[in-house]
Amino acid sequence: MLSILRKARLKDKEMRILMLGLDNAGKTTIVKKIMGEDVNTVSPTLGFIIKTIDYQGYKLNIWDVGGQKTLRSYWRNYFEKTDALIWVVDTTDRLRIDDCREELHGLLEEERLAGACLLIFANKTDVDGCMTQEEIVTMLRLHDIRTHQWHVLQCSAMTGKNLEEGLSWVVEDAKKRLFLY
Amino acid sequence: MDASENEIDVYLHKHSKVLLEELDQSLVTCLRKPDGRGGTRIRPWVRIRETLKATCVVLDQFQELPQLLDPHLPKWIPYLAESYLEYLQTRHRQKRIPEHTKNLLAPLDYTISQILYSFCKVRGEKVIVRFLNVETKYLELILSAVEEAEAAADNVKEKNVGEPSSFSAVASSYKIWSWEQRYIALLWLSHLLFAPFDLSTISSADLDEGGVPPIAGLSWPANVPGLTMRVIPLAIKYIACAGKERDAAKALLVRLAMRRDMQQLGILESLVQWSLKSLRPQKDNEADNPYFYIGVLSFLAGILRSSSETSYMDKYLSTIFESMLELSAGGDEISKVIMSQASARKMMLKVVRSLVVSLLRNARRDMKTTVLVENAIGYFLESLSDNDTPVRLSASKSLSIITLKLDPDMASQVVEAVLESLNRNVLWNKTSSKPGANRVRDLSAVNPLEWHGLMMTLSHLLYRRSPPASQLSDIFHSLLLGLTFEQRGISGASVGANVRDAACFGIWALARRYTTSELLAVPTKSVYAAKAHPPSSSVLQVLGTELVTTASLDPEGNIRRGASAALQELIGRHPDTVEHGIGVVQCVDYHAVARRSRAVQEVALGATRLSGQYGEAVVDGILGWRGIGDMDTASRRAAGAAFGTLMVELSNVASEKPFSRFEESIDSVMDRLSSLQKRQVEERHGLLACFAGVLDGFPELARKAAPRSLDQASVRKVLGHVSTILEDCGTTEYRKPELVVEAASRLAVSSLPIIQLTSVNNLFSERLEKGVDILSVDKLDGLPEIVAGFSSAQQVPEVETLTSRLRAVIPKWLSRNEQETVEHASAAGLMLLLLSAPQQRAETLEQWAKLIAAKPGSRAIATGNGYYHVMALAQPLAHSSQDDMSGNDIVCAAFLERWSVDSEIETRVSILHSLLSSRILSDKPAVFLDLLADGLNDYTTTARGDEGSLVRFQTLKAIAVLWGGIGRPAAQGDWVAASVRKLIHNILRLSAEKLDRVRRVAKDVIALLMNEGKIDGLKDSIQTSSKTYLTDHLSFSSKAYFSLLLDLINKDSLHKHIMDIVKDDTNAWMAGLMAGFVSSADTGNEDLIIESRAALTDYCEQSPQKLQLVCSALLHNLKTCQGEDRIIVPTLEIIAFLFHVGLFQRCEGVNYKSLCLQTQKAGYKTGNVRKVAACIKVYGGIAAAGPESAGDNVEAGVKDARKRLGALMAHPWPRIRSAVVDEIWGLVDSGELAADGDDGHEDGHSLMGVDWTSADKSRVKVLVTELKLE
Repeated sequence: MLSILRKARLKDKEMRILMLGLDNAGKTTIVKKIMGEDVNTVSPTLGFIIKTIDYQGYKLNIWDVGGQKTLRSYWRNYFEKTDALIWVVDTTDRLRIDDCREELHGLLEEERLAGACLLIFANKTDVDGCMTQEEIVTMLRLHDIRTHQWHVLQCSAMTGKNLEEGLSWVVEDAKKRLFLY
Repeated sequence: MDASENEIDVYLHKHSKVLLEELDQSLVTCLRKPDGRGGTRIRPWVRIRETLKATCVVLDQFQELPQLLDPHLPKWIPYLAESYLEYLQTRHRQKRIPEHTKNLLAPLDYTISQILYSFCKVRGEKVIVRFLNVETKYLELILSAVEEAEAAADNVKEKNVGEPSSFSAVASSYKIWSWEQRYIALLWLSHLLFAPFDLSTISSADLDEGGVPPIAGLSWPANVPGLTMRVIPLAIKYIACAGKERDAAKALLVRLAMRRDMQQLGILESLVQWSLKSLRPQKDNEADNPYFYIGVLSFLAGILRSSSETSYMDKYLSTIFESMLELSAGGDEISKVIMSQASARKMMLKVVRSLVVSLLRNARRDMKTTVLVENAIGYFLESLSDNDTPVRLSASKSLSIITLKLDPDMASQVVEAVLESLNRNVLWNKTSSKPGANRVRDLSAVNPLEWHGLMMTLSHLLYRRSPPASQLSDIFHSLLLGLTFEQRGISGASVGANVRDAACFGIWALARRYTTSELLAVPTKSVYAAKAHPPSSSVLQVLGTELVTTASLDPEGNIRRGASAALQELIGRHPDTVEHGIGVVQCVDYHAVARRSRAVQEVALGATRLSGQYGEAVVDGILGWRGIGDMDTASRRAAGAAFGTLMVELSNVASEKPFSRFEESIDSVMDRLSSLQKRQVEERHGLLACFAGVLDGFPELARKAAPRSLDQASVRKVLGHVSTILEDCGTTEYRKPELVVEAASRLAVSSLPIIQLTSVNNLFSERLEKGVDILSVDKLDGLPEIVAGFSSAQQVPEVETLTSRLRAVIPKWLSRNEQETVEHASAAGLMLLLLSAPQQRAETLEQWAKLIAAKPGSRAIATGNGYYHVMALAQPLAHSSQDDMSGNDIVCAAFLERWSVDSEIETRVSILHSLLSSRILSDKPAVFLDLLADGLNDYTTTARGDEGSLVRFQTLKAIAVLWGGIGRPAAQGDWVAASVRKLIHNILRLSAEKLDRVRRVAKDVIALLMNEGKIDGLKDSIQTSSKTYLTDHLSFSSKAYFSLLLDLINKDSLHKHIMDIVKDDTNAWMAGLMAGFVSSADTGNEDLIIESRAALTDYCEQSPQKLQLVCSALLHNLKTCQGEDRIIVPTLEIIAFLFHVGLFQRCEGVNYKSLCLQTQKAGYKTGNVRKVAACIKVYGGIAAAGPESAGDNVEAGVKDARKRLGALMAHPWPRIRSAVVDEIWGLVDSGELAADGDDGHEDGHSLMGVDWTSADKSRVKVLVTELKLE
C-alpha cells in the first residue's frame, strides 16, 4: 500500500511543504499570492490549510500551519512526510526575532523533520526599515544549522517579489535530492 | 496491532551521511589496490565476506529511502562497471589461486555482480542500468563471457549426470556463474543493444547457415546477423529460468526485437509468432515449466509496453488479446499450468493493459476496438477478486489507468460498475428489536478479496480524479462501508484490514482531489451508509466523524494512522467544514494513535471533549466488532474502560437528569447482553467490561453532578442487573470460562460504589470511589473500617440477593488459576467477605482456611489460586476477628501449614505469589521467614528440569517485596536483622547461580541492600552510585557483575545496619556466594563460564587474603555439602581450575591432606562419572603442587593424592582410567614424577604405546609400581 503510494508520488512529482513561522509573519498571504488570490482579505489562520500549487510540473502541497503551540501533529503522517520547510520571518518585527530564532532551532532539532530542506522567507521587505539579509542570517544564527540545507530569500507577499524564486529553489533542491532519476 | 514507534527512515536519515562515506570508502578499497605507480589496479580475487558485508549489507539498509543514494550513483556505478570490464579483459591472464583460500576469496566479476544486483534491488534496475557503459565494443566482450560461462555449466552438467552429489564442489569453483552474474550481464547486454549501428555491422563473425540454432516454434528470417543469432537463443534459454535473470533476459529480448534493424529483418514478427505459438498447446510435448510461460508473457507485456506509443504492434493486438482470453478460460493443459501461477496471471493483466492502452492511442474508434476494450474491462473486473494480492493490485491499477484514457461516458460506466459490485450481496439487517432502529449493514455475504480489489480500484480512480463529481454520493457510501469492513475467517480471525486500508487511502485521495463545494454538494441523505448520523450534518462532517472512530478504534495500527492522515487532509483542504477540525487534528495525532490502548482511551476521550458527536460515534463503534467483539482480550478490556470514561464525558451534568446517560448506557449494554448467543463469549466479556467501565465511571459522574444523586429506584435496578448477571454465571456453562469469570468478578467489584449508595447518606456521594480503589492493596489496613461502612448495606434486599448470588458462584471463581482472572476473582471474594454478616464472614474465612491448609487428595482437585490470593488479601479481616495473642491468625497458620505438607511446585509458587501481591508479608514479616528460606533452597528437579527454580524465583520476588523499604532508617526492626541473617547467604548463592532468570531477580534483591555509595575505578560513571550502576547498567551475566558480587563484602557498599549484621562472618558470606558461583563457572553456558571465571581469577589475584577467602570457602563447601552433588561437583571442578591456573597452590594454610580426604569422600563409591573425573583433576592438581611449596602438610597431601591416582588406575571404568592417565602424563611431563624416579627419561615412555582403556590389570599394576603411585 505504502510502496504504491510512494511510487505514485515519485511519478507525479508530489512534494509536501510545511509552511511555518510566528503568527502574523504572512504565511497565508504568501500562499494566497502564489495562488493568485486576493491578498487583502487575509485574517489570522486559526488552524491549517492545505493548498496544492502546480509549479514546473511539480505538485507542491503546501501545509500552511497557523502559529500554534502544538505543531507535532503536522510533521508527518501515514501517507507522507515533510519534504521541505518554509520558515517565514517578519522582517519588520525586531522585537520578536529572538522568539523566532528559538522556535526555528527548536523545530530543527526534531528528528522526524530530518531530510527536509529549509527555505527562509524574509517577508515584508517592501516595508521601509526592515531587516537586511545579513541581519536575518546573524539574528537567526543560521550558520549554526548543520542538520539541514538552508537558503534565505528576501521577499514580499504583497508585491510578490522573490516568491517564485523561493519555490524554484525548493523544487531545484528537491530535484537534487528526491526526484533525481 | 500496535504500530511500531521507532521509524527506520528517521534512523536512516540521521545516519545516512556516515553510511554513505563508509560505502564510498569500501567500494574503492575492496575492489582495487594500488599498483605502485600512483594508480590502482583491480584485485582479481576479492575477500568475499568482508566486501559483501561492507557493501551489500549497507546498501540493503537504504531500501526504504533509495533516493539518498542518487547523488553518488554517477560515481559508483561507472566505477564498478569499469572494474568489471577491466577484469573481463584480463581474466585469461589471471593466476589460479591456492586451494585453501578458495572459500575466502571470490573472483571480481562475481563480487561486482553481487554489488550491482544490490544496487538494482534497492534503487531499481532502470536507474542503475543507465550508468553502465554503452560503448559498443564491449557488447562482444560481455556476450562471450556469458557464453563461456554457459558452456562451462553445460560441461559440468554433462559430467555430473550420474553423480549429483558433487554439486557443491563444482559450485565453489566459480567457473559457473551465479544468477546475479547472469542477471547483471544480461541486463547490461540489453543496455548495450541501444547501440545505434546496425547489428550486422558490429557482428564480428557471421555464423554459417548450418549453425543456426533450432528453437522450437521460432522460424528464423533470412540474413540474420551473427550477433542476433547468438543473443536470441541465450535470452530464450534464460527466459525460462526461475530466478531473477528472467527479467533481464526479457529486457534483452524486448530491446532486441524493438530495434529498427531487427524489425526490418522480421525478427519482431517471428518472435511474436514464436511467443504466441508457445502459449498454444502442442500435441507432442507435455506442458513446459511454468516459468517459461511467465517469461513469454512478460516478454509480450514488455513488447506491448514499449510499443504503446507506436503502431508497430497494431496488427497483432487482436490476436494477442484472443490468445489471452483463451488462456484465461483455462481449457487445455497449458492454460491450466499458466493460470495456476499468480505471477503469470499478473503478467496477463499487464499484457492486456498495454494492449488496451495502445488501442486507445488513436482517437478514432471502430466497433471492433470498442468491443475489445469492453471485454478487457470485463476481464479486469473479474480479476479484481483474484486470490493473490499482486494480481488484484495489478488489476485495480490497470483499471484506473485505462479509465483515465476512456472518454467520460465510458469512464463513468466503469466507476458505476465498480460501485455496483460493491453493493452486491450487502445486506441491511435490523438488529435491534426496537422500532425505528437503524438498519445495520451485514457484509458477511461478500467476498473480502473482491472488496479489496474494488476498494483499491475506487481509491486509485479517486487519486487520479477520474470519477465525475456527480458520482460522489455513491462513492461516499462505498468508502464509508469500506472503512468499517470486517469479516471473520473460518478460524475466527479477522479479515478485511486491507479493505479498510484501501478505504483510508480513498478518503485521503477524495479529500485531496475534489473541491469543498463539490463535496458539500452531496446531500447526506443520499448516502445510505451515513444513516446512523444525524441528517443535519454535512457529508464531510460524517466522513470526519467516521475517521475519528476508525483512528481510535481500528485494531490495526497502520489503519489508525491512515485514518489520522486522511483526517488531516480532509480538515486541511476543507477548512471550517468539520466541527473543531483543528482540535481534532491535533488530538488524533500520528503518534497518539500508534498504541491501541492509548488510541481508544485518550484519543477518543480527547475528541469527545471537543464535540459530543465524536464520542457518540466512538461509543457506537465500541459496541460493535471493533470494541466488544474484538478477538483480543486486552483490547476488549481497554474498550470497556473507554466506554465508561466516554459515558462520563457525554453525560450532561448540568441538565435536570444528570444520570440519564448513565442509565441509558447500562440499558443498552443489558439489551445487547440479552440478545447474545451462548457461544459469543468474547462479546459477553466485552459487554461485561463495558458495564464495569460504566460503573467505574459512576463516582466521577456523581462528583460532577453533586449535590444531585442517583435515586434509589435506579440504584436498585442497577444492582438487580448485576445480580441477574451473577445468577447467569452460576447457572450457565460458557466456553472459555476464565473470560466470563474475570469480567463478571470485575463487574461485581465495580458495583461497590452503587452498593454504598444504598446505605450511605446521599451527602456522601461526592466521596464515592471506584470499586477497585476501595479494595486496593494499599488500603487493606483499613479493611475493618470499610467493613463497618458496609454493615448497614447488608440489610438492603437487593444487596442481600447480590451477596447470596455472589456466594453461590464464588467457589467456582476462586478455583481458577489464570493470572488475570485470579486477580479479579480474589477481589470479588474479598468483596463477598465485606458484604457478609460478621458471623458468616468468620465461617467463610475458616472454611477457606481449611481448604488451603489441607493438601488435596489427588492432583485433579488442586486448590485454585484464587483462594490463596483472597486469603492473603483478607488477612487483616482474620486478624480483627480473632483475639489470638500469639500473632498467628488463621490465615497465616493456613499458609504455613500448607507449605509444610505440600511440596508441589505449583502450590508453592501460588502461595508465594499471593503473599507478595498482598500486604501480608510486610505486616507479618517474621512469620514467613522460615517459609522463605525454605523456598530459596528448593532445588526440585523433575523430568521437566529444574522446576524448583520457579519457587526460588518467586521467593526472591517475595523477598524483594519484603525488603522493599529496608534502606530506610525506619526499617530496622528486629525482623530485619533476623531476616538478613536467615536469608542473605542463600540469596548470595542464588545471585551467582547459573540460571539467568533466577540470577536476574537475585540481583534486584542485592541491589536493595546496597547503599548509594560511589564506585571507584570507573571513570566515566562518577555520577552514578554503585547501586544504580548495578541495577541499570550491569548485565546479570557480565564479568563486572560477578566482580561486584565478590567485592560486595569488602567495600562498604551495603547499608550500614546490614553491614553490621553480616561483616562478622565473612567466611560464611563467601561460602554462600561460592556455592552458587561454582555452578555458573562450571555448568553455565559458555559465555557465563568465561565471564565468571575471569571475574574469579581477577579477584583471587588481587591479594593473598582474597585468595585465601575463596579457597577456604570452597573447602568449607566441600566439607559441608558432602552428598549434594549439585554443589560438590562444580566445587571440585573449580578447585581443579584454580590449581590449573596456578592460584590454588599459592594459597597458604590449606590443609592438603584434608582436601584429599574430602575429595576421596566425595568420590567414594559414586556412580557419577563427572564427579570422579573432577576428583581426578583435583588429585592431579594436588600432586603437581609439589616441591615449590614445601612443608609437611603439602608433602602429605601430594603423597595422598598420588596414592589416590594410583588407586583409581584400577577403576573398572575405562573413561576414568584414561582420565587418570591424562593427569599422570601431566605430572610426568612437568617433571614431578621424574624428580622422584631414578631415571627421568624412562617414565614418559611407559605411559605411551598402551591403550589404557583396555589394558589388563597386570599392566596397570606394573605401571603403578613403576611410577611409585602406591
